Amino acid sequence: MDIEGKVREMIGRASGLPADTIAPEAKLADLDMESLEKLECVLSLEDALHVEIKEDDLWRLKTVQDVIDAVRRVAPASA
Amino acid sequence: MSDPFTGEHEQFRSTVRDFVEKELRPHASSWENAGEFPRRILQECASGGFVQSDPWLNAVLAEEIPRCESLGFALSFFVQANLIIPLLEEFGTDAQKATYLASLRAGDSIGAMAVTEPGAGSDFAALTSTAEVAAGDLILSGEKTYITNAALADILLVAVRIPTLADGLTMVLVPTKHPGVSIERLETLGLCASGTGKIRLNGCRVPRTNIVGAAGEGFVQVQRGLNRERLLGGLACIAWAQYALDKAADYARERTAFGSPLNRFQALRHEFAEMATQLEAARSLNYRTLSRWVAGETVTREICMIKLFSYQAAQQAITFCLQVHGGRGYMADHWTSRFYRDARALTIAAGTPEIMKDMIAAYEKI
Repeated sequence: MDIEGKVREMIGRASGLPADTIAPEAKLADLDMESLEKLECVLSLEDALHVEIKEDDLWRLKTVQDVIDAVRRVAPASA
Repeated sequence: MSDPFTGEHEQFRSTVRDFVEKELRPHASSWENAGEFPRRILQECASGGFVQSDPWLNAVLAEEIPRCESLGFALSFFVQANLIIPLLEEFGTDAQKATYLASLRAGDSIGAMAVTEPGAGSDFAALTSTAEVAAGDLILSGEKTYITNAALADILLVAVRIPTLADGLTMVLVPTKHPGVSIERLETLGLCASGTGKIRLNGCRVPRTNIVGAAGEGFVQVQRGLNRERLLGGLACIAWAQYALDKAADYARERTAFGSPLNRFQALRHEFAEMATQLEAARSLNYRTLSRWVAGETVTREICMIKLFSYQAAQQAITFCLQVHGGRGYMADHWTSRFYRDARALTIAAGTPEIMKDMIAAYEKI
């Protein structure tokens, strides 16, 4: 499973930016992703990747890389 | 679902209700008129065992304290017991707990949580208060407003940005007596005893060790606090509205018009039935969500629904109680008038229905 690609795709959809322009180090706030957009994006990722991210972890997400890492932590080992 | 409370809880409820009726309710009007309550009352609540960590005992307190009829006091108490103390217990360092927690738990000091600013309420991203790091200290600047307990508080939990330490929000403990802190009481429509105020931080210097938890963790702490506040607050406002509805029903049984007691008129009977049904539905949602929250489940979606539905149901019931009393209820010194003013805050403070609907829609993936 291409977690990084999927995360960039979902963040691209939420922020209205092309996925390939979204750098891992980009801050979610700079992509206009505040709490609500972050929540929507993570819920979509959970559905798409069949994972569940803890809510406290969700509220801690600050960068695109944080999202990638949070998904990797809960993704099945084969992913 | 059956009533979730055990015999032990009900025994505690009886103790709290007795205290509320004897020690709080007789003073409700004078506290609300004066805009404050005596500090010894919080100490008496603490020594009576009303600062609890058990969630079901806190649920009992949430349902009983509002029966004191001073919602300003009830709000102050809940901010202290359900917001400030649990956050410090969960995220505070040993030194912070030693310095502040015992005094808060004993009611010797009062706490307030300062997040909202003149330019940012629900929109946390727009919060601008900051702290600079200087020689092991933090120097805070900014303005907070509409803060419950501000005018009464000894200690503040302030949300600031510390760009040199972390992105996001950081919660910092600030004693109100510190130089650089000034507090102005604000006049409010209701909840007058709760000491709502504005806080100015102008070069306020506190040790860096006053950061609660880790720098940048403030948003998680605020969300945790909001969840607890909205959940227990939901129980409180439903119980308060039920208390008011019961009082209004008593009045409707006594008051006659056109030769009959008011309670015999179908128009009023139907409205009573409507309000009672909404409160019952809200209570069921609250109890079920509380049970799941106690079991460790993630229930933010349901808590948003409580904040949306229960608080509105309570507000509608209180509005109806004033209507039942007619002109008498409209008089400024009548209990329904005061409740009506207090209830207006239910759909403003701690998350508006508009924000809750946005959150619920997100959870529903709409």
